[in-house]
Amino acid sequence: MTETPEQPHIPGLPPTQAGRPPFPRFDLEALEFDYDDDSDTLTLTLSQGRPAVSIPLDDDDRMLLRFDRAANEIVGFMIEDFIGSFVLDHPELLEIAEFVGAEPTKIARARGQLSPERKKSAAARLLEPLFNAQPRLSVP
Amino acid sequence: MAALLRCIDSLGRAIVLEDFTWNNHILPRHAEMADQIGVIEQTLTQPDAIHHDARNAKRESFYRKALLPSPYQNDYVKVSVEFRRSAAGRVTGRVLSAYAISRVKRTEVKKWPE
Repeated sequence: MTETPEQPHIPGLPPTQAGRPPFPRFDLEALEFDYDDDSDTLTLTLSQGRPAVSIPLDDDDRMLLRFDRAANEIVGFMIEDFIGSFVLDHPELLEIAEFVGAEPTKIARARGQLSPERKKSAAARLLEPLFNAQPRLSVP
Repeated sequence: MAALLRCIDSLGRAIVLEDFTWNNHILPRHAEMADQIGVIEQTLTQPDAIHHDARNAKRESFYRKALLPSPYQNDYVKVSVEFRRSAAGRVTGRVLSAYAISRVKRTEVKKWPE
């Protein structure tokens, strides 16, 4: 019998829904990226126009999931302080900032704040899974 | 910019919610706030708490619990406001965003009540 691993509880969900709701698939047809320059927020919407509550996920309160309590479904994600703070910890996401149409001057300012160590660590995070996923990784 | 809402917050500052912000920033991203202009006004005029934004000194977060209809009746409304001081020294605020959130952000420092 396969045991279901215990799912971490997401604070903010009522006790009857304790635990992690199923992680939604990123359906490229429905997936929408949106950046709000005023509030410096990146939003990933999996399902448009759904009422939802935002639930902070990380210790920095920057990553939030959007949860539709009526349907018990994750309908999107938000990253607040995206260019002002988050991309400085995750420089590999600067590509997304460009893709969603953030102001070039804002992106340039963020790039200027990146230390070589941060860039190196971002490059490692991107490359490690690429190499790790190669089927011929084991040396004959 | 046309104002959809003008009010005085619990600390006596004038705050405006512009039509443009409502139609282009809040409604498309936060469907739970549709028809909830009154809730935004209540959150600004009678908040449970006002917090300093964690990273922007000009911004404050207004929180008020239990204003939204079911199934969000136990959640908070968070309204983010940017304040500016005029040359005459008058402080005014502009709403940047408003949405339902499950809890007050821990990274923000409380401004009011002390």
